Amino acid sequence: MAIFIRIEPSSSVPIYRQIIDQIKYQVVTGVLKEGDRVPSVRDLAAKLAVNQNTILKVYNELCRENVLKIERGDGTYVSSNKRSMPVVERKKAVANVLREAAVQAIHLEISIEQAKELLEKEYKIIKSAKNKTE
Amino acid sequence: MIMPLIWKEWHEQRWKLAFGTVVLLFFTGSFLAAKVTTERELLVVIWLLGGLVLSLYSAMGIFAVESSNNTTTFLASKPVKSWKVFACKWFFGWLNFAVPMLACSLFMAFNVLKMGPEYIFGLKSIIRGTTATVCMATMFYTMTCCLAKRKSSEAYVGFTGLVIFFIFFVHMIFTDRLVEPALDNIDLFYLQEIFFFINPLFWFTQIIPSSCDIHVGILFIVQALLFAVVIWIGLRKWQRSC
Amino acid sequence: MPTNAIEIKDLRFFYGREEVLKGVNLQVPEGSIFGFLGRNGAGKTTTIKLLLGLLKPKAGTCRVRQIDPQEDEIAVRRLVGYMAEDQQMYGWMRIEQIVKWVESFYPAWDDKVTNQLLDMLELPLKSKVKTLSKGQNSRLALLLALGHRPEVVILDDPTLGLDPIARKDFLRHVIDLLQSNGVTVFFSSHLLYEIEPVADHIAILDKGVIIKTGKTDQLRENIRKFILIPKPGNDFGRISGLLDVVKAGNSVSLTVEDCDDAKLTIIKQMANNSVQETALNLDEIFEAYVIGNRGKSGSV
Repeated sequence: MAIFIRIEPSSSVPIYRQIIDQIKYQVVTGVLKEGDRVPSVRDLAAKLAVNQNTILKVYNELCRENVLKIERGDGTYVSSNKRSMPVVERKKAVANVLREAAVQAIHLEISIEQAKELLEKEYKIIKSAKNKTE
Repeated sequence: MIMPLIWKEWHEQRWKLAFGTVVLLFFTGSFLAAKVTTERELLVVIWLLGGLVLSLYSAMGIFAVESSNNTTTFLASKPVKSWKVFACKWFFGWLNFAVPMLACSLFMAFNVLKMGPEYIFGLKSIIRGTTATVCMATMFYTMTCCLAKRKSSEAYVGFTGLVIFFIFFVHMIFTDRLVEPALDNIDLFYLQEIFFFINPLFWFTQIIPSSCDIHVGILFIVQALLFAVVIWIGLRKWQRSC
Repeated sequence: MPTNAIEIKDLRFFYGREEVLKGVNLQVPEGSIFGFLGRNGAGKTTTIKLLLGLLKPKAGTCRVRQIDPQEDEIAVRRLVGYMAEDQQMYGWMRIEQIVKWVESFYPAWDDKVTNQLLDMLELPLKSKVKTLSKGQNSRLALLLALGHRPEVVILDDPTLGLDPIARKDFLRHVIDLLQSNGVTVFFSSHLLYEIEPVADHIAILDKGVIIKTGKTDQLRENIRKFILIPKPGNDFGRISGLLDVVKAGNSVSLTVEDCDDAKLTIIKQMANNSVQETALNLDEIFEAYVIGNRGKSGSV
């Protein structure tokens, strides 16, 4: 199963984070569906010309966050959201990301209403992208 | 580990070797056929032409060719001792002028033999002359390629050779015209020999049998020492030229 | 106990009168991909040549797998796969001839691997070396370096002059062929954005010394850039780990390494407004280390 990852080499976002974010995006929008097989560490490293240890780090983190799961001897697959972390933990993960967004928004003097609007918009975009692929 | 080096040098130098042999044989043959000079003078011309010009040409094309092609690092980084590389190159450069000269001498010897037993003494002088000029050319060739600046281009090596030749030519004339007559009055006949010792053209005097053979032994030793020193300098330069 | 494939200690080297290496210290861990960075003329090629015993150091030592090239350069060269910068090979040889030629120097040469590599790298056996394109030339040089299955591979600016596709392919081969087999790869480059995805560790050589060394991802995490409007009369030289100070109008950007809360507090105190923090890409990090203005010359 091929996945499309594009690394921006001169970005200030670390490479492993770029890959993690792109895989997550593809899972969330349904490009990568539950049960799809992702390339092995070696194959993805060769394809992207990225160090295997970086890919390993990416896959480990994605497994920890339950986006991917490793089947021993069989490969790595996109995990199903249903059998994932308890709600409390999931909320905590989202809160971490939202904290950064909140800081930016407050710093740039965006009101809470405007911020809510923007968040709703993003939800809509992703959901519609997901619907298109289903 | 020397076989791959021999193979490579042979492949690179064989056409130069062929060229030198053909050119020198051609000159020998055509001079002989045209009966321009006596065999004696002819030999001298051929040996000087072959000895000096060809050995200069060889010296230019054997070490400098690596730096002008930038292949020095590729060669030097192989797991083989640098002296082996140096020796192999030196040897094939030597062949480039020694083989043509020997070929011409053989050709002349064959001609002389054809002319019958009264020319047998000619054979001896051919052998003596060949030895002397090949040794002289060897010394000149070695000095040129070993003393040239590190990473010289081929033309620069040639220029170095010309400078060396010029120095020794001047030195020879100096010793011949000035020193010798002056020494006639002084009973230090060894001095004359000492002046000759650094002159590779000393071999040139061997073509004419010397009357003082006792000093010749010392000169041979000294020449051998000079040769060893020059080779050592050349090897160090080669090792540092990476 | 993890060992180092390459160890360099206090290495000094002169080119004539000029001191090119002024005490280089470096350790390359076994099995890592190690990126050796530096500006042109910083001394990267010199360091690599010293590792192979092609040059003799003025002082200091270097070892490859505990072998000193000054003592036994043949052993080091048999152990190491080396690719020189812009490697020129004998143009008159055909590829099959040059492979055989190089093979004859290495008892450990593996024909099977070589044939696989010839296929994978798409090198036509009958072509003469002088007819090869730059990309093919680099691939040939890589093949010749790997044929004897070395456990340590040293590449000097291997992607020099290659087009972007060829560069990516080359790095792909390095990762796929070498990292998978636990081979230690030490390679120099100044294309930093290229080294970052590939290397585990990085060292920056500048003005004859190693000015920074560390794991690639930690390098990014450790360094921060702050943009602020400073209060008058600030002495930025006070901030330890300051790499670069740039002024633009009445704003100032400070690039700082090893930033902890204490430093952050100091920086906040220097600012008239709130401090904006950004991350940096590797080019910017490299610039900060190598040509950064350390702000020692006084206050703003």
